[in-house]
Amino acid sequence: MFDVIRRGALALRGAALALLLVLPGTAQAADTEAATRFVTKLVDTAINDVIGAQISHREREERFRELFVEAADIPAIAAFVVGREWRGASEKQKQEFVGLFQDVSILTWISHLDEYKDVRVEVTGAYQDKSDVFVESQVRTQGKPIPIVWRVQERQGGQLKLIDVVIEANSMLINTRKQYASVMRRDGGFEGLVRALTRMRDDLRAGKEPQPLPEG
Amino acid sequence: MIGFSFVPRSLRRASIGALCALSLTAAPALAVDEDDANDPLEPVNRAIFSFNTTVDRYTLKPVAKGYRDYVPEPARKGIHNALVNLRSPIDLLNTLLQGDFDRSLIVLKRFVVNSTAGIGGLIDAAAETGDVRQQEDFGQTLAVWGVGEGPYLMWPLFGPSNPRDTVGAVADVVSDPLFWIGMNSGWDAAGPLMWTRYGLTLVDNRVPLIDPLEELERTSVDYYVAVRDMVRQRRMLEIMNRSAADRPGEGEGYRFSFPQS
Repeated sequence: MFDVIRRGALALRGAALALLLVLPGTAQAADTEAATRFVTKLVDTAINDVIGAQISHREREERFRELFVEAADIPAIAAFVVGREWRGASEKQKQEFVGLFQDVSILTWISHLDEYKDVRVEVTGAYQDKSDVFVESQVRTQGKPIPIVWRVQERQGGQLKLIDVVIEANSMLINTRKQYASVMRRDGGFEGLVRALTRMRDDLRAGKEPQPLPEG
Repeated sequence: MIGFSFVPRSLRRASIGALCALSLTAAPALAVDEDDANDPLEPVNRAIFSFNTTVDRYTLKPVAKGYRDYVPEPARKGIHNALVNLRSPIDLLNTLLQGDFDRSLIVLKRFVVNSTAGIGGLIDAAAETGDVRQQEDFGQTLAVWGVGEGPYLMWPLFGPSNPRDTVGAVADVVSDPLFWIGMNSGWDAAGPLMWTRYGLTLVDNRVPLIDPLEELERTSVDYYVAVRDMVRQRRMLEIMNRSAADRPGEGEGYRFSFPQS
């Protein structure tokens, strides 16, 4: 296991180094207070104007989409979760994938928003790590509060963007990336992933629960 | 006992004890290299996972849901506390084996306080004075001793594990004095009581996972991998004696580097 971890560490350091070389001077530090305000506002808007609002399902989906697209850096997230196959994709494929990924993300959240009606989110702290800020919160639905961390990065021009949601110390970004890697390995690379996500999107649109991949 | 649930044990709050030496090497717990699945038996594991999920859907999960929905919360809490208290010998043994004597003392103190003032363990009285549960098992001890987890393993009915934690789970059962009392005691009720305890443990461990697993199943393209990743991340926290609310150190856990755009 340690071998694997060490290799991972090396790979990480390598990736970080490569980034430093490729993107000189783009690193900007988001400050913790601004990031905390950003997350608080995002969560409040989601609860008051989307989840809790007395609006039609259609309207709810529209509002959620607007909020999500504004708050999250979807292109950067999409590139990250696809991983190394991203480099091999054409511009057109990338663009289509970002749209698809955005649809699937929105549809998976939207279909069960009702369950979060009584949700309460309390921001409890924030800390900075290089250019990113991790905003910590406790989310209560029923029962025990769940720790959720919101990872925020600053873009040029000072705009803040959400890049990861960490639920009980589980990074959604990493979890999604691992799933996508598996789909690509088992089922025809990047194109296979696009097929799987398209199927998922269509199922979600049709109001069906997505079917798991066939085993084997 | 790992239990019939798909995650060995729900995440338990543990104080940031003295960090074991492991945290140094295990630091970037989330190797971002997507190929390091460390799952050579994946096809078999997937088939067993699929079987487990089906069995769970018709047995343990409905029982756990009924338990959650119909047994009042104070009763469930009392049962949970009592089950935790009964595990004290295992927690104690493993803090000792890990050379973590400060925490051994906490386990002992908790056991005495909760068994008396806590009415046989039903109330976690010790937690109110700051002595929170130190959840340990032999798999964690092996990890602290430097034993790697080995490849991912999916056991029929017992759920996800790995060679190290499998050995650990067996050791936990046989190192438990209550197991031997249950097996050998001349007292007629000892056996049934032991099995009742194991049964309740299964249900008690499954309850906090009802919603997270449903959520994960619904939102994943590959549920098997989603669970595998979640299990590993949680286990890493347990070994490092962290709770999900604790901040990971630089570069570890979810503080991996993400490209700046």
